[in-house]
Amino acid sequence: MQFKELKKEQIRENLVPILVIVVVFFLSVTVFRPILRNSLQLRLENKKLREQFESLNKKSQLLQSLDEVEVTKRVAKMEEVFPSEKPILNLIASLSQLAKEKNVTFGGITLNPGTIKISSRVSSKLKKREPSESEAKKAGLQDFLINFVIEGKIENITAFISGLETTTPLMKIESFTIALEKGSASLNVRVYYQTLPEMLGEIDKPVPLLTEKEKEILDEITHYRKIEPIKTISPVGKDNIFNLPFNLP
Amino acid sequence: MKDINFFKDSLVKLRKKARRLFLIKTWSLITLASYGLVISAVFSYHLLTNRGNQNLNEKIKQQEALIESLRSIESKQVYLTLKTKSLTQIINSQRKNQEIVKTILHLLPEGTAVDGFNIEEDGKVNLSGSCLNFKILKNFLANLYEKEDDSFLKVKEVKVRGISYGFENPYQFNTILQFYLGE
Repeated sequence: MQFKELKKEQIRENLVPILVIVVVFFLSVTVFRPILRNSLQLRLENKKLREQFESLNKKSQLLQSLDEVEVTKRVAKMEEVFPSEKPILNLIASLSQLAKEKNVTFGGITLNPGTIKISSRVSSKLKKREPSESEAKKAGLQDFLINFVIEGKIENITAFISGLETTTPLMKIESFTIALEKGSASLNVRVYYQTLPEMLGEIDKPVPLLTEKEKEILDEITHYRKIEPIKTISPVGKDNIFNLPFNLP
Repeated sequence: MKDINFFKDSLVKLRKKARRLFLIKTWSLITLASYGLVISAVFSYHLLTNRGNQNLNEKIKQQEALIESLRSIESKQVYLTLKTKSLTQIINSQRKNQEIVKTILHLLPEGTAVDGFNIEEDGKVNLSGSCLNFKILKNFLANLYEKEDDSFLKVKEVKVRGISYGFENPYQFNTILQFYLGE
């Protein structure tokens, strides 16, 4: 009987520390550990979100600072010089016009343009954020060869060749044959174009900026001449057959 | 007279025990309270971070909407940089070729015909053709070695691979020219 009493008293004496240990253990397992783990996770997430916000904020500020009118003007000029589609019509018009200006006869044109892609205008509506693998491969530099003959005086041929440098679309002389006594030259010219990317990339991807050298190039191409393709305008609709061929006083 | 207390030892023991029990209880409670405080602090931090993340998510959404509204200018800028990068390479190569062609035309004397002219990337040119007579051929070769003009490229190296005499094109030549291309 006395032993039992003693035992009870001993338990009563140690009740508080035992309870504290049990409560601490219980809280550690059920409350503290999950909260701590979540907090650490949230902290990491917070860091990522902060970085994402910073980059988005930077991007939006940069986009707002861009002069849309100026960029649009440059895009238009770029499209003339370095088009997104095969510039067949412009090319022939440019070459024949240049030949006319430089007093050389132009002919014997051979070109193999292949597929002419009709798409890709520089419009925000067409651009998607997510690229597909095939789209990513398509966006690239492309070219085709054109061969033609010019005839004229040597100084005119030289002037024509000089003129090629600043005539749109962009052309590069690859090889040529020339007979000076006949005054004729056959030129192999490579014409470049680049299809537009169909995607813009991730929204938090930074906006690409132009380097100083690239800006200089853009300034230079503003001096390139564009020769409009000749458009034949034929009358459409019905003619008034009772119209007089001249105006009466 | 001396006091005799038979419970003295027991009393001291009891006092010590009571003190020990008090200390244990107090420290247990302090530990529990501290633990509670730590949990509260962690919980508060959790709540604050969660709130912060929600705010950040909202701000990110706003920024994304803003960027989407500026998509038109972004696409133009992407287009421009992409094309300018390609254009820079092409223009450099185009100018080099253009200069080479102009120099070759400058070096050719009257009565020369070029049958083959090919430019390699390092400025090396394979040039083959024919001349009407020996004098013109001589002039042409002399031009390659001597004719220098600041407005044209300078010839660095000339290799005459062959000169032949035929019926249709009397004097045929085949040369490899290397030009100074600057940088």
